[in-house]
Amino acid sequence: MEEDLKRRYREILEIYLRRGNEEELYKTSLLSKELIKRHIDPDEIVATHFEILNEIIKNMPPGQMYRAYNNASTVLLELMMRYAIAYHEYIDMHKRLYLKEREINEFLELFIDILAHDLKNPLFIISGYIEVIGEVCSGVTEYIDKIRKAIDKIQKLLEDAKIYSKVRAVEPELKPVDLATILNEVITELKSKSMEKRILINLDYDPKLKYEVKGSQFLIHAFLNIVDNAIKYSPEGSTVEISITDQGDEWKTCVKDQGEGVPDKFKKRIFNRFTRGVEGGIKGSGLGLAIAKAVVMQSRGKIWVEDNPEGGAVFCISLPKWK
Amino acid sequence: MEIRIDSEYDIVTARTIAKAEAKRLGFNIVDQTRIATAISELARNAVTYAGGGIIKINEIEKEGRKGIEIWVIDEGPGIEDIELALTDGWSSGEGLGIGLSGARRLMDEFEIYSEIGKGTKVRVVKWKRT
Repeated sequence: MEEDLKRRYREILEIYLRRGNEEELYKTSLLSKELIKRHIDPDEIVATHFEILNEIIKNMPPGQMYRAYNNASTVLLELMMRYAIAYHEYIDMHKRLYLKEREINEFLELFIDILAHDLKNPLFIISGYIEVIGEVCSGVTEYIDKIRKAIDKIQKLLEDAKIYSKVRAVEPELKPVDLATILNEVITELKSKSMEKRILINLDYDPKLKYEVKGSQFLIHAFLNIVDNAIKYSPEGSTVEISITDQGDEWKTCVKDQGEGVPDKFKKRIFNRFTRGVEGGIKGSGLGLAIAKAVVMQSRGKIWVEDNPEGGAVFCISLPKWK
Repeated sequence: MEIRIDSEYDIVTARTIAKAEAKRLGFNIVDQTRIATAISELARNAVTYAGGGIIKINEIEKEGRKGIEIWVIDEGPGIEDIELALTDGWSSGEGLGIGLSGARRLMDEFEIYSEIGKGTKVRVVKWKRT
């Protein structure tokens, strides 16, 4: 706390201890306005109060000292009254911001829902006629293929956008979820993709154990996305290894691939592509990791990527155990 | 009890009288401070924006409970946007004057009436805790 403020407070305290007059309390009230404006912490105020008080009373006889201590508390009370109000205003402001954020997320969900719905038709037309063109024209197979893949990408993006907006808009209900069950579902769902590239997915766990974690209804999407990612960036014929390890209060799931790995400078950014104010602009990541991160955060878990010492990346998700 | 306020010095007088009345009614020191702070703010508003006004302090009773009722009345320009004036000092960015919103938080009841060109009346009440 700055010296000029301390000096003012000391003056007030000295006069009030001598005269007990209301004017000093009014001055205190004005001083506290100043203190809040300058963002002085309340605990610093209290500490300063006692620091100054002790100095003032140190040469007083015991009887007077006792009275002084009591009377000084009235000054401190006056000082802290505004902090009490500021505190309440701060809480209310946060409530309002929270509600506003909810509103925005709900709007986003609706917007994306409608957009995706409206885009379905034109996409359907495009993909339909692309097939027709493929049949009618010759020598265009390669081009048709590329267009088909691009359409698939658009459709996936739209689906992911819907999921992402839903994850953010809905208040998650955390329930016990079995990791082994989810991971098996994920592997089944991604079977055709993995078989296309002859990628073997190895799930290492003990079928006799229960791997229960706290998770929302969207948890499967987190794992779907990182395993899908692993498959996407793995070379043909390689292996993707999924393991579950006990971390005490959490279960940690790691998905190891033999792809190119993630350079250090991107390790944080790939999860933050759709976060405001965070550096983004990474090519080709889509929404998958953003969804994974949002879901994992809702379950109060952690998600990160490490290097695979044998080359490639290891994506890890740790989630609190269900107790 | 009626007090005329024209300057900042009168605000101190108003506080003193309000506190004395509150003490007489049996309010504890924390409530006395709340009441004094609220009246400070309202009186400051009257002096700053309306050049002065009148403060009325009364003892009131409702359903067996005693309370202190304070009116701060001025004949100033009136408040154009009461909603805005009641916005927290925090968000209105005025560097925390507390003002009306703070006075409202400190007291149990708060009413405000204002007419452009005519003036403003604020009524606040604090009930004694049983």
